[in-house]
Amino acid sequence: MLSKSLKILGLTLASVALVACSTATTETAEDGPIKVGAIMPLTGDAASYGTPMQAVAQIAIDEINEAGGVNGRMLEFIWEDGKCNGKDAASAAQKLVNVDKVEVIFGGFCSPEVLGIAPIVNNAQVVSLSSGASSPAVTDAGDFVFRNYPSDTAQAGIIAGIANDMGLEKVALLTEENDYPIGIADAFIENFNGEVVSETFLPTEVDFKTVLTKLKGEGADALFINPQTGPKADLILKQLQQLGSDDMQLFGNDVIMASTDILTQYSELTEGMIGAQTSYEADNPKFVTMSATYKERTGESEVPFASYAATTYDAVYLLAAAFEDGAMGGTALRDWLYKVKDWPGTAGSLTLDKNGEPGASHRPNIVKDGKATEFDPAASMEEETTEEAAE
Amino acid sequence: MEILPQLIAVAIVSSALYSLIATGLTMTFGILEFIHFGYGEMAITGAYIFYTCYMSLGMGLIPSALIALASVTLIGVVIEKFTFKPVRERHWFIPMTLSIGIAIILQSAMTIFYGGNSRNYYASGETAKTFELFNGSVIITDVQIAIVLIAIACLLAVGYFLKYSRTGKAARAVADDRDIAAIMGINVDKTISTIFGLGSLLAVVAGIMLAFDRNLTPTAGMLTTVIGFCAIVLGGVGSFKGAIIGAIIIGFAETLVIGLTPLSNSYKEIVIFTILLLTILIRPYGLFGGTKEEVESRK
Repeated sequence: MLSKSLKILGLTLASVALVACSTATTETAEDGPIKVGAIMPLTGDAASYGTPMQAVAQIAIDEINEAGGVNGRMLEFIWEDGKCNGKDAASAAQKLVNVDKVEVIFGGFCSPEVLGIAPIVNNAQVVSLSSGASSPAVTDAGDFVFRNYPSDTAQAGIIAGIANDMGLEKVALLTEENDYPIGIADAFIENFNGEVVSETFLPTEVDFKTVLTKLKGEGADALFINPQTGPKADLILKQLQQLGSDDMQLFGNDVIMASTDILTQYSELTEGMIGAQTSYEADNPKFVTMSATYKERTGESEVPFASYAATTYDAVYLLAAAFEDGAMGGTALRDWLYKVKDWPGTAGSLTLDKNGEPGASHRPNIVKDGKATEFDPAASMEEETTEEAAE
Repeated sequence: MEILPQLIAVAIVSSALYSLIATGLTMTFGILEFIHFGYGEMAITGAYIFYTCYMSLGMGLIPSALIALASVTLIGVVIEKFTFKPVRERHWFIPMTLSIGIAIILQSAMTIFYGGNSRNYYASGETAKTFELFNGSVIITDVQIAIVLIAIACLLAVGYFLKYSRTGKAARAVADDRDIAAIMGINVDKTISTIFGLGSLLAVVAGIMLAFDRNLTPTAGMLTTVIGFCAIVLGGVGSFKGAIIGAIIIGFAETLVIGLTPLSNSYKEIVIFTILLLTILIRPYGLFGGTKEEVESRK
């Protein structure tokens, strides 16, 4: 009996030692894959953009690997689900940093994810690079937290400016209790000159009939819909359509403006909805190729959330460029990223500032026939004045 | 604009949905004597099966609903037979833990099969028909009218079944005292199976209607279970009437408090649970659970 237990113990120890040796050899190998931790919302409502953006990142990874990798080494992404919240993203980051020993984290994608992992990456001196977090709070999230997606202060500022120019006096604002929409709401309230009737809802909310009825009863000139995810936007618009929008001017944050599906589904209701999105180069050859591969792989007719897709695709290439220069992670990668200037990507030319983020590139958009199109507020004001004069 | 009539309409629709969930849940609780945490997930599973038939396969409304009802009732009966039945005589803690496991398995399975995205029962561009009542002060959709009518029909049918049918009477006897019911010649296994199946059936009706009204996500089940239990505790555990009244109170309270006071929509759950806590403080056995003396004299 005893000898049998001893044998088992011996075997276990031997196998542990073997495993330890084998991991040690792969880790030191200079030609092994470059491991990158990746955190995205892969389940839950935010998976509506998390999953497509994972597919977009994978296209960039495959392109790089098929072309021979970075200095002969393949890119290997270890995907974790951040579920668009700080708690899950933080445990994912703990695992990536402590177990997988990665020196760089691609993501999180949602602002709450990035804010959740910030203390961990800053302590461990691991760089995180987000291609979607836009909350103004990310600006001061720490020295190792980077993003190639601009802060939302500009987005809300543009929308508030348009509302001011339109002479609106009262705007109803419906905001989800989450870092990204709250950032937009705060900036909007700060920049809008009129009265804001503000309502918030929890991420678990599925019934908006009450709050929409309440906001309609306020007699506001406009309604600004400001959710964290597409599925919430879908529900709000569905229930607003049922209750009737009473010809209120609609504003939408860039989750709505970038959701091609939602704008098509509610084309009649969202006609004339105004928002602001970051720009991207739709005719950039790399974007065109990526878009074609995406359509081929998924069978979808379009790349959803095109502005996110551009930054996500760029973020993989940006990391590859850093690796190529020998900035493999930690402080070396941090210092490399701070020097990024006029780097050409599909989202336009990228320069990272002292906070590790790009300057604003938001442009006003208006929905026409179920599509977000460029909007020139000055021209539309002129048009209105001439129309009024003609009347 | 006067918003009260519209808020009342919204409250009636919510109450109808919550009533169905609460009655199905109170039936399973009455007969199994533990909290079935997988109940909301059964509702959502049914709603997803309906989605596959109705949206993906393009089947009609009625055949899709029948398939969803049949499959989940079957899943419910199978779950009862292979998980709850073997531990029926054990401490309630064990089946309750199993039911949490079932909730997680169903939720994960739905996330894997259908993805985390929310689903809509309307094809692109298609919308619910809306009707304006009382000079336009109430706007209601065809689906919402159907929800209220179907809920009333289901509740009447279940009430009649429990009160007058043979199985219904047997179920009440089993819920009262399982051992004595068995001695009196009632087939306890069969009765539990039937009631569990019926509870699952109500869950699916509620799940499909919820999804029509509020779209469908794999994680929607847990909140459904919580609201159901809240209604039951409010109305009085074990009371069919109590479950319905509890559901109506929750439906109206969340709508009217949020709609008419400056409290933001984020406070909805706080409102619900504050009402629950206050009610239990005054009437510890719920509104229809009797007073403390009455409950003790029954023992």
